[in-house]
Amino acid sequence: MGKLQLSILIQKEARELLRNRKLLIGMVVFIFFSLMSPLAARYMPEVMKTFVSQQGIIFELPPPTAADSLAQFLKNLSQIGLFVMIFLVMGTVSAEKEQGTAAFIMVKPVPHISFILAKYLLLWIFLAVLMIASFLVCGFYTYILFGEVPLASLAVLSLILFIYMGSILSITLLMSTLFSSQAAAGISSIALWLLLSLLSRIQGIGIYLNGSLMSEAQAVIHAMTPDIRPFIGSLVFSLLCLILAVLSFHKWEA
Amino acid sequence: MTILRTEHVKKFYGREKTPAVEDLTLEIPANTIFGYLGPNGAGKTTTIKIMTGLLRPSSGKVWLKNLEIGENNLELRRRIGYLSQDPLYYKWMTGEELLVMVGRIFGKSHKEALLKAEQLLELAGLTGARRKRIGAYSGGMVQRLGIAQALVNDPEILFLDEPVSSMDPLGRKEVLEFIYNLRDRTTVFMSTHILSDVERICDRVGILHKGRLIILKEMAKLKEEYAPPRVDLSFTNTQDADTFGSWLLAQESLKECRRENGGFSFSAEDFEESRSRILSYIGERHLSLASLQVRSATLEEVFVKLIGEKNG
Repeated sequence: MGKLQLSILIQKEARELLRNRKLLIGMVVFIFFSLMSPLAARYMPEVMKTFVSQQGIIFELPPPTAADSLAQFLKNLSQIGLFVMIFLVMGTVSAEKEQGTAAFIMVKPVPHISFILAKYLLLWIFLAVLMIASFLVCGFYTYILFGEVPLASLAVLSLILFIYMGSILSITLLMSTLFSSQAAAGISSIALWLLLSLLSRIQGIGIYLNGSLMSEAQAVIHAMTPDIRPFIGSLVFSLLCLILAVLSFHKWEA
Repeated sequence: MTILRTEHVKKFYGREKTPAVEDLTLEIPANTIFGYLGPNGAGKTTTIKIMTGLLRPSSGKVWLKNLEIGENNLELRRRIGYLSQDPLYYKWMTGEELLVMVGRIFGKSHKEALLKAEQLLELAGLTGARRKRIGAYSGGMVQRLGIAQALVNDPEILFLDEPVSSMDPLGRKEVLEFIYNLRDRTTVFMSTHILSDVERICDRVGILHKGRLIILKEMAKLKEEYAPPRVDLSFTNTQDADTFGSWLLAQESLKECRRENGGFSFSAEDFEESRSRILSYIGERHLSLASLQVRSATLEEVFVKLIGEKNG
């Protein structure tokens, strides 16, 4: 398979991530939401209360808990965080095809699988780094604001987010391989993300789709045990995206 | 010794009915600089992409020595060098990092790759810019870096697709000299639509027109066979030039007469026979002759003649 070429390409991808500031952008966005989520959970009820009381309406909200912080964390990263990640990942292969750097590499003795696999592995490592940082920041800040943190739940939640985002970003990588335009790769992967979210509501098969991971995340927040099936389904789905990306790249003509 | 050989190569894109390349059969001898010439859209890039394994031919075969070029041929890619048209490299990398990465891809240790990078940077005149980001390189520097990266593996044949077409005259001169100096190291297959570049550095020429190879010859033989030497003469004043022009048009034995830049140019095929007649006419009329020169035909004249014949 060209282990040497794979390791060289992984190093190249890692350096690229650092030099073109994608890691920095991802880190800023994820840390921002990891800080904002506990903050919003802690103070939003008070802000709302003050605002509506000025309108002469009186209502009571339950006191915020650390679980609310986790719910905000889940919502922010699974939506805005993922959207930013799609934006960062959509050019992974298509930009290289567009700019001619893919042809430059592929006329060297590099197997097609090494080219795609290096990008796929770096994608997951990139995501893992962001999720570990987010877990630590959110956990620490939740503890500061609420005096407690359900660490086990936050850890499982971070793992769910990691797999969920990884599986959606695997689609982005596949789309980036199929299309030569970054915009086409981005738009099509957002469309598939929405479609998969809808399909996950179908009885039976839906539980195996990555959209169901969000329901399992809600279960974790409420201290329930998550179903294992969407985890398996999402990982298999990600692997399938990788295989299709390699096959499609094999057929690509520079 | 033949290093590269193609047999009846044909390439169609998608559902197009006209092939981009048709029935291409050629042989390239080792250690030559081969100029692959043709107007834009003639099929030059397609040919090079087929020869480098980046495109699959619709039919026909290509060999690098005894190796048949097939799909995803890693062995082929170990043995060739390729510079694409308008190459773009990773702008965030330095020139040295790019060459080291390519060296590592070819299986060299980091130390070996660094040493090779140093040698090639020097050969390409980029030693001073080795730690500069490629994004900050000029067009000429990128092109020279492109050729350097294609030489990392000491290729048996180096494919250069329009290596100087988008460059300014100074950058072009630098790169052409660089290519010319490679003749002892490797075989060069260079495509271009700039005839003077081919004339400056190539030993052999192939002319492609609408996907078909219309000529394949050594440069000297091509000029000899397809365009005889030419006579250029000029006068110091327009009136004398006009007088001579009217007379010249009536001379049936002098062929391919053209008036250009205030002077005249015509085929020197029958010049020996017509020389005394021309000179006596000029002498009798006391025409003020400024210059008279017999020169070899340019490749441009050969090209125009050949393409003109093909276009009917």
